[in-house]
Amino acid sequence: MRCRKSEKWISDGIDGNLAVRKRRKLDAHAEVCGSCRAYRFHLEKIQGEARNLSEPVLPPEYWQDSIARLHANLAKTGPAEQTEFKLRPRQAPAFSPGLRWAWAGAASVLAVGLGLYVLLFQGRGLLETSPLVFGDQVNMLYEKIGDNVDLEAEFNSLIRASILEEAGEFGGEVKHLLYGNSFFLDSLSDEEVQILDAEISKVLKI
Amino acid sequence: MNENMQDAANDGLVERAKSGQMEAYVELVRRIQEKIYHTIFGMTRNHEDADDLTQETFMYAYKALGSFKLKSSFYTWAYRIAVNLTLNHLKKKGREKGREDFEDSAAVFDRTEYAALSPEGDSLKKELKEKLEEAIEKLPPAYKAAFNLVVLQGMSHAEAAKLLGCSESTVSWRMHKARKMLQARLQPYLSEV
Repeated sequence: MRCRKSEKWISDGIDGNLAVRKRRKLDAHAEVCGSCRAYRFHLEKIQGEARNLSEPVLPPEYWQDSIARLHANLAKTGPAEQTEFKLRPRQAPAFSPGLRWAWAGAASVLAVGLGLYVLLFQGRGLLETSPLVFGDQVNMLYEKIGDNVDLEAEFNSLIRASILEEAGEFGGEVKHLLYGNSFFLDSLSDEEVQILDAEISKVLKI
Repeated sequence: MNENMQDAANDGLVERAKSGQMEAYVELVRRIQEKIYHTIFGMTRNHEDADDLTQETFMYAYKALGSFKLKSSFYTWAYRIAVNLTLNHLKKKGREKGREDFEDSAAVFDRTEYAALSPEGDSLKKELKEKLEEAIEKLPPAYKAAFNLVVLQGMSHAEAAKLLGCSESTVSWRMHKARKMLQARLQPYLSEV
């Protein structure tokens, strides 16, 4: 198990969002990895401190005043409107259409690379597919994406599209490709893997 | 009153508010304003901003009341509005600049600075608290929202995802990245194992 993966699992574990199977693997890794033990300790400390951060204690008068101000503002606006309200208006993408195609190309290259890797170097069958090349490349891309959430969402959807594309190429074996690839098993929740599996099955009618 | 009964009572108020009874709406607000304020404060760490955004949330919700279909509780609906308005506010305030500064400064921390800055005892704890507030403040808005909902409000990834309008997996990644940023920034103040 690699430390990069372990760090993600430590975070999930703190939030109570780590499957028992993964927790056991993480504990086994932490037994022998001092840096991951230290990282877990640091995160737990941050968690404890964050929960103790002070919040302003406001007097009852503040809340009464707040209601009075709201009342005054509402009186100015008149009755509630019947207009449609969108909670998350679509924002302009943080990258140009040209760059979008570049990412689409990158995902396609990854998909083709994975296919070639499987076909050329994994003659023993799809079940024994190694995740190393694909997983490393995707992790590198995630690092480059950094905290651009729009780009991350776009990339995730491209990855998903690539899997479905692979599904068409490999036929029914894609289920094994998916489950044999620890990158996906490790980065997706059990529920998401099931959803993905169901969608692939639907597309392939298997 | 349990949550279901509370929702049922609120539904009656919502219907009355939707029909134009301002007092009914104000009563709805009175019931949840503290929770909404503290959610916003957790994201802004600033009373003035939290105060303004709380008012803005309830004004916005009032104007949009016609589109509220009662598929969730009024509280959940208002909560989503508050989170989205706060995210937009944080983006507008140009906190991205602060984040870049933060990342740069975190990246250049080396072991020498670590040793020089390592305080001890109570002062370390106090300093950690101050630095933690600063570091949370400098998180990118989307990460800060996830961190606030999950850590400060104690929500599950699923609950936070529902409010943020994204998948659980995205919340999980944002939490992971937020924690990595915080850990990098706070390393000098976190004592070793």
